Amino acid sequence: MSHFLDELKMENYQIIPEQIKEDIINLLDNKIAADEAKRLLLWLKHNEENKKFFDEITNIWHKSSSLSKTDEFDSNEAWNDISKQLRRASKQESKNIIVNWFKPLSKVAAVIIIVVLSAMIIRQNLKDKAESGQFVEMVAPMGSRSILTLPDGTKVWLNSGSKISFSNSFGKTTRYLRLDGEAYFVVAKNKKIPFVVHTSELNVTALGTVFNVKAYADEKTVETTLVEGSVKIEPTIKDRKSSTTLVLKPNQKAVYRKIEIGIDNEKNIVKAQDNQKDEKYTSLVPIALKVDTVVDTKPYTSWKDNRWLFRREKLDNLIRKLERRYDVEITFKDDALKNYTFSGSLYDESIEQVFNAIKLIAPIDYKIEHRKIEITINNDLNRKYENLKK
Amino acid sequence: MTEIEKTLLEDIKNGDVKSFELVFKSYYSRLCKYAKSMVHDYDASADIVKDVFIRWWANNRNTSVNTSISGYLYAGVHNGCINYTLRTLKNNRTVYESELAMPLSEIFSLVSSDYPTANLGAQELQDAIEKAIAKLPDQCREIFILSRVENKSHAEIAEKLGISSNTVKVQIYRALLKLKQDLKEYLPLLFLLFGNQIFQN
Repeated sequence: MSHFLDELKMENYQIIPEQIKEDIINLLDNKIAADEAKRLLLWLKHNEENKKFFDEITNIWHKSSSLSKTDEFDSNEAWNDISKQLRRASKQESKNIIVNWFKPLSKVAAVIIIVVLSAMIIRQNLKDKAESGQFVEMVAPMGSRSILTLPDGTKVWLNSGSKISFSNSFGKTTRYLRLDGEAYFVVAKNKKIPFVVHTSELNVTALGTVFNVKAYADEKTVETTLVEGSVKIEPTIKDRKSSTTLVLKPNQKAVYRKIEIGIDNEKNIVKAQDNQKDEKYTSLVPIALKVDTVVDTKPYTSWKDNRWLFRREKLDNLIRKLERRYDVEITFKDDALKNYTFSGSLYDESIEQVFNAIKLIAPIDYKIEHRKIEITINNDLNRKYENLKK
Repeated sequence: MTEIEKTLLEDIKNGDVKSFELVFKSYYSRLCKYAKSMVHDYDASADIVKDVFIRWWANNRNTSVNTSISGYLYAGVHNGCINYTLRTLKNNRTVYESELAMPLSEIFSLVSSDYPTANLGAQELQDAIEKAIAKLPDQCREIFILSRVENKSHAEIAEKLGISSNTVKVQIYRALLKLKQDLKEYLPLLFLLFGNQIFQN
């Protein structure tokens, strides 16, 4: 009974013609006709009361749209979309290839961001747990590689000694997976659910692209090579002041340098400093992620094919790759060998054939016993090479 | 404006993408829903909202936002929606539609000075609206929810419930009146004025 009285009261202080009521409702429904619009306009101009009434009604109308549950607008996807345009828009950033992790950020904002991020992470974790229950793990052991298709249709080539894991809800609401080691992804297109690869140091986000991620625990860098489309890279460690994320274009490679911050281990600190000397890094920390433009992505992705290309690989890098690919243990003692670089392509060769090939171009001898290979310097040959160099 | 907002704005002015991302992600979805309620088109809504952010970053970072961030954004989206509506009407070549564009643009311009609903994002207001909707008479509430929460057009609602579209209109009107009354004390929140001049195209 009461709301009838209320309505009466309202109608008393302001009488709205039936036609105008209908016009307003039609306007809100986006179905107003020209003559109705004209009539409404006249009425609105008639006095302030009318206009105020109209404003209040339309405001409530628009405000209640925020309750809408049918339209989900994905802010992460949208951000991926516009952050590219922002980069183009701000000139100062267009040539910013090396990312400075120490961009000043005022304390308050940093606190907010950290709070928000951790809130998001906690929520994500809870969500993951609630949805998943179980994790699926796929492993390519040393000496073998595997190709697999994920529930969402994405194809993954897994390099030797690598592992991916994901929850069994993968593909339904999220596409998160964890990678230890190296993998090549041909991501199935799905604009609604971003595809995210977590590694120990970086998150790589993609929508529908082809890219390679190398994140072996025993290597100093995490490398992401983009073949097609675009990916976004951001560090997982937030306390390194990751003020900027990075978007790769095709034929670019991002190299993220892990910094061994010695918590308990002096050797690691020394190692980190040595690396910096080696690579002519003068300052200790800031530059952690840099982008290389590569003409050809093949050397970074061909491990998945029968024909494997490598270009200007230092011997120790090459050896690490061979160890994984052939499940062998290789040692070499002479540091003089360390600086030899190798380029070439291998087509299903046995490990003996590989070393015979290396022997042709570098002054080495090798000895294979079971799965152990020892490389030594061949002094006669080395002398010849040294002479040639002169 | 709160201290937090001031700091964020200062960072954004200095080109800090992370702060901008934070603002973007906190407002994007709400702004899109707001735009959708005005232009009735999913993709267009997303584009209008993105456009507001891009223009803010590219051109207006140095113009000061002198009210709240949310007021600034809602105003931008609101104006963007009006422009979109008028543009689509003009592009439709039928005489009928272009005849409509004129009075519509005047209606919008009449109200837009009062419009920028600075606190449209306020949770308090949202809760109040939900409560008020819960108090509506049954049929009235069902229709209003179909319209606003599930975003159905009046014709779709009429068809779904097997009632005349006139009944739908009457019930929507009744719901709005009832809400207007229940939300009386919140209405000033909806009408915080602020400088419209900052977002002119």
